[in-house]
Amino acid sequence: MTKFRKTYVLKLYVAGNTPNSVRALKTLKNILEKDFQGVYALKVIDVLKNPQLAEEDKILATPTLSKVLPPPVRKIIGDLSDREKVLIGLDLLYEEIKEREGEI
Amino acid sequence: MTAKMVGQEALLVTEKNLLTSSKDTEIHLEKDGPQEQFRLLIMPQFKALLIGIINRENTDYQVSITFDSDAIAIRLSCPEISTQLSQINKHKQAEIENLQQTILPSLPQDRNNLSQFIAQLLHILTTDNLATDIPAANDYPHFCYDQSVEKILHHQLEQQRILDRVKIQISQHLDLLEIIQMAIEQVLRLLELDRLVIYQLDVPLESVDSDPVSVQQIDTVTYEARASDDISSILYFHDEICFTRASQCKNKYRQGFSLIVNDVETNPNLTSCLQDLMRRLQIKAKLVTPIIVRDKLWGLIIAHQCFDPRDWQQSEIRFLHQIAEYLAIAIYQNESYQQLQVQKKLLEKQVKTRAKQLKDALIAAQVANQSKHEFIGNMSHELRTPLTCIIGLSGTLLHWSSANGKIPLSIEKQQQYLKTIQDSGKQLLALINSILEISDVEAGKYLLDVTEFSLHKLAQSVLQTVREEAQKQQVDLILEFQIQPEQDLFCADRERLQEILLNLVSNGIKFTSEGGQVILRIWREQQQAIFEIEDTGIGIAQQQLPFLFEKFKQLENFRQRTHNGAGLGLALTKQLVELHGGGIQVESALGKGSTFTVHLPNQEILQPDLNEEVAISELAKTKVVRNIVLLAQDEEIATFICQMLTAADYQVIWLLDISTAIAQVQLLEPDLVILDRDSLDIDIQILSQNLKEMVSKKQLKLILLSEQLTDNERQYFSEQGIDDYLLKLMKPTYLLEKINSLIT
Repeated sequence: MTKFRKTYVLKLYVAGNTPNSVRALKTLKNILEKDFQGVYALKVIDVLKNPQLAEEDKILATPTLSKVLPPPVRKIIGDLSDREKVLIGLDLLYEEIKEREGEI
Repeated sequence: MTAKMVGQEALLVTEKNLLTSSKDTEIHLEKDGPQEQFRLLIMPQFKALLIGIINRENTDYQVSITFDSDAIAIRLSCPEISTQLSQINKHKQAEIENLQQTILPSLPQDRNNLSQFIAQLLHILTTDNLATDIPAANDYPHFCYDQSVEKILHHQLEQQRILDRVKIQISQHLDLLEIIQMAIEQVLRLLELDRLVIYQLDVPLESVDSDPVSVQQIDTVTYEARASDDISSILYFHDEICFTRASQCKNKYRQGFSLIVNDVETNPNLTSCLQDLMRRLQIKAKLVTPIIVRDKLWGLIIAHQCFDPRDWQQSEIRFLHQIAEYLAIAIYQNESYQQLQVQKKLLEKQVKTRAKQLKDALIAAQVANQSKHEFIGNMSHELRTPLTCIIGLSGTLLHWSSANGKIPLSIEKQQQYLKTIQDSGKQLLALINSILEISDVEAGKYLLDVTEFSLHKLAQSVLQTVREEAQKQQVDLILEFQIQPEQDLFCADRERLQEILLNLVSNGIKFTSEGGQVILRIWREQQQAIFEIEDTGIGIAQQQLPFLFEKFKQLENFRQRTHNGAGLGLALTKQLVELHGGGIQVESALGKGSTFTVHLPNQEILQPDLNEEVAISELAKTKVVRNIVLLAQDEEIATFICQMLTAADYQVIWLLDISTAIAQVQLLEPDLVILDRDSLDIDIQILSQNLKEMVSKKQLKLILLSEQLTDNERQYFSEQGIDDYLLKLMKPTYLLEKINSLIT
């Protein structure tokens, strides 16, 4: 009857204040504001300051975006400039693509 | 008066016999001075003489009666009488015979019965005197009795009788038609007319012509009485040529003028046209009297003589006039009565409609009342179920968690319980939200936030939201998007439209069983976008369709329900659609599925001259993005706060490191920053100053989260730009309230 805004738990791993990291955060913020309909809690982790957290989550490169909830866990590696990739990673664009394939 | 032979030998003699039988037929008596009358009865065994003297000046009588033969002889000895007496037998035979029949039976058979005879005689005397008295009172010079007087008298009586009858009939509210017909027939008979008609003015044509649209008015004959069938009928006769010209005639009639035509052929007042007409209608003489109702010429009462001219008498004219007046009263009364009837009917009708309206209102109120009752039933059911889950399961978990690590429940079980608790909580929240929402919409609080957006993306996100639900139910979700890319952009309140579609789609899923499908079909027609949601679900019975969009209305009774929900979804949906100026329809067949169709007109954006970039940034602003940045390192407290804030629909970004935080906050532009004082070893003063400076254009709020705070510290931090404080031991509800009040 009434929709629930799905709650997402995301983690973004960055390394210090590098341009890549800043860009990744900026892009992510943009995507979350414009295309994203759920509620999110984003945890921003600096792997240089908290290496143990990166290790726990087996983060090999930065920036990495990890969707913890809802399952399944997905990781997007890179500066997130590929908008579509991010959305797919967040399970947001999955349907749209399926639709397009059907049209072709 | 008369001289009669009674039997062969009886003889009654009066002076009249003598006078009329004499050669000089009339004897004029002196007006003044006493008059003498006598009656002489002669029979073989009996003689009687009655003498009456009338004194005109005193109008008194002297009556004497004698049975003496000598006196009679003296009385009759005057030469005139004696000479005439001999002739009586011959000349007045007929009259004598006439009298024979009246007097003879009552005559006494022997002398002894004298008293009876005298009484009889006196009777004759008095009736005679009365008769002679009338012409005297009229100053009639004739002494003799006039037949026409009796006729006039009779006529007057008859006239009065007719008038009285009309009066009675009027007072009895008899049918007008009957009154008039009766009146004219009697008048016809009384006045010995050949034809009597009522010529009515301005008669609506409908009685003659059945076409009710053009109600033309004509003047025509509406009532008629004829002396015999030989006389032609002129009922419904109507002539425009001669009469319409005579409009000044109508004026004269209106003032009470009566037209008297003794002879049609010789009357100089009649036009040749009218004369022709009279001839055609077989009229020799006529008398016309107006019927005036309330100063208006209603019609004419017209008497016709068809065979001979007639000298209309003044009394006849007067009588016709009187009849006309009486009829006018009858007509007026009838008209008033008709009006009264019409008004009565109108009032009755009004009363009936009012009564019906009242009844309807009463039923509506009862239904509404019942709906409220059902709603409370539904709601308590809806609220109780998740609450029972929460209380029961959390109780179970609490019980085992206090059992010092000896928890017999598997981790999976525990998680399942927790998941159920959370789901139930969410369900409750959604219910309460929808109640609040509908009261908001009802209070007109929602003004549309119109933006331009992609319909395709909207459809995607709607389906995305319900995908999980559909998968769970094993229902196929199909999107039939029939819009060309160049028409993809549409203006409406995106949030609301999404809510409309979500409601309908999730409803479709809810009522569709395994293996069924729900189709979202979208196309455009000019300035409208049409959304069709078709399911293969249980469908809705025809008789229930009208209740579908009613508030608090669930088609299943709450006691026998198989599908949950508060029954507000469709009512809310309809209200949201109507807020957009659109419409929603439903078609359904029980067991086959339902199709909801929403028409939504393209809304106008209030500031159309803004360029796209501005519009987008505007969009970003108007969209209520309530971002909160949490700066904390304590995993436990941070997770708790994240959970709580996301449950309250806030977007939370949790930053772990202070060193990069300022740059990140600047980038993220949050509404509020929560600083965990205990886990951050940084000078709050510097941090807050930096934050406030960097994001100066936004009203950034800062909240300090701490284990505990003294009053001095509070004061100190307030000076440093901290807006509010949260204590870690505070109840979650209190925390949320504080944050809410800061952000709105």
